[in-house]
Amino acid sequence: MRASVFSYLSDLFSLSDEQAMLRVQKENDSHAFALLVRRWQGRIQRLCARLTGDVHRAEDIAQEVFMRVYAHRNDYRGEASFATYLRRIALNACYDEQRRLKRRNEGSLKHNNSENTFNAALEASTLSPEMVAAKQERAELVRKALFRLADQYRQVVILRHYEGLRFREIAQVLDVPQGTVQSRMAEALTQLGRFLKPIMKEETH
Amino acid sequence: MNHPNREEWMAYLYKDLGRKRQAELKEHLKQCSQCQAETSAWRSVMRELDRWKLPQEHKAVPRLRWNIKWATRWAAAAVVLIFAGYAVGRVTVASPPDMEQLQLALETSLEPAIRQKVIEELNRDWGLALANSYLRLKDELSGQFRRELNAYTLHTLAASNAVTNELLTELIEAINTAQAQDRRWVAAALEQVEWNRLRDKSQFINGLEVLAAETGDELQRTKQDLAHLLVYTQPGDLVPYESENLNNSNERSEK
Repeated sequence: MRASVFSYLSDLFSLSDEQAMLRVQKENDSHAFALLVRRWQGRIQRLCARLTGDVHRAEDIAQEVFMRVYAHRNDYRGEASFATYLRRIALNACYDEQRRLKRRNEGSLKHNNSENTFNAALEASTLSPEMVAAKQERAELVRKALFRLADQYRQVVILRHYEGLRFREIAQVLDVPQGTVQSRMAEALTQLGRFLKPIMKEETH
Repeated sequence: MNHPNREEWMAYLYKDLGRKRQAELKEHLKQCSQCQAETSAWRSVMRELDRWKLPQEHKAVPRLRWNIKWATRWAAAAVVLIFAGYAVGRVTVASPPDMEQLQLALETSLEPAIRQKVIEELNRDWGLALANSYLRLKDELSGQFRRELNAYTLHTLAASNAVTNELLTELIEAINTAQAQDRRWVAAALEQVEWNRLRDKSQFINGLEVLAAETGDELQRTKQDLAHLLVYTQPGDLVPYESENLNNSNERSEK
């Protein structure tokens, strides 16, 4: 096993994502595909967890993402980087999942929209001041605030703030101009500022 | 007064601007209370966003924390760097090491004071500044590395091989974030240092001695520590550790 740790390390370094993908396309190389999965699984899972707000569902979606990558492997033309391509698939998969859930829940709990959910959570937290300070409650409020944002704003925040992508990279993933990405980011942060104002007030600088 | 627009402030806040423009906006903030208020509000939101953490978040981008876990990870990364550096002959007095890789290794854990100084060095114009600061940087790196490697070897010597593999796997995670072009030379280096092909251990130790001579006694201990590690992580047949061989560089053992 020890000898293979180093060949494992070697592999990880020697093949670029694009090269690995080429091998998957041309030679149906399962080893190369496994390499890509190994490299990216964690990151994609975290991305999906942020996009859906649901850590457990994210695991299933991440699987779905890689299945789609393999199933549509010939669609990757190498115009964008594999990283960009993969993230696009992840965004689409999460979006599909959200739509699926929405269709399922339609008709039941009509007033369970994101704004109401957020306001309810906010009210609950202000009832008990200690709870606002509690880390978990606060994290939950942030999450709910994010989900009050429209999809296009939330995506940008997640890609920029949590994934750490540069604005140029986000523009490639979303296939919109860079200025648009930055503009959406500004709007997102502004809206989040409004949502979170009641709890941010507590902070003494 | 000409205010930068929202879009540019976003780039500024996330340090996604050219250095010159970044400095210009920083200057503007000093003189403009309106923009100051706006960016301050956005910064508060950014801080709030940080509160949403995923369970078991092992961020690929290392945080600047100082604890044993990061120290071992850093030590492992530094070990690979130094091994790799010798294999491709990059770590010599004349040529500076690959700074992106070093930065990655350094960012994982260094004492704040040293880290700050080192990162400042790294962020400057690498060309000329590097030539001058390289030796200083190498000294600091070596010193820090030796202290941490001692802790690391204590850990690994006591632990099982499975743990070493785990640490290496963590290292993989950390290095995965390196740029593609950096990956390639590390790959070439790894091919050379792949343990089961490293027939001549003393060749490697020779290289260490060169470094030791350059940077003084400090690294004598490092050399021994590294040899501990080398022996410990030999695959398959374990070569018995002979301390005499370390000091006798002329002895070449047949494998």
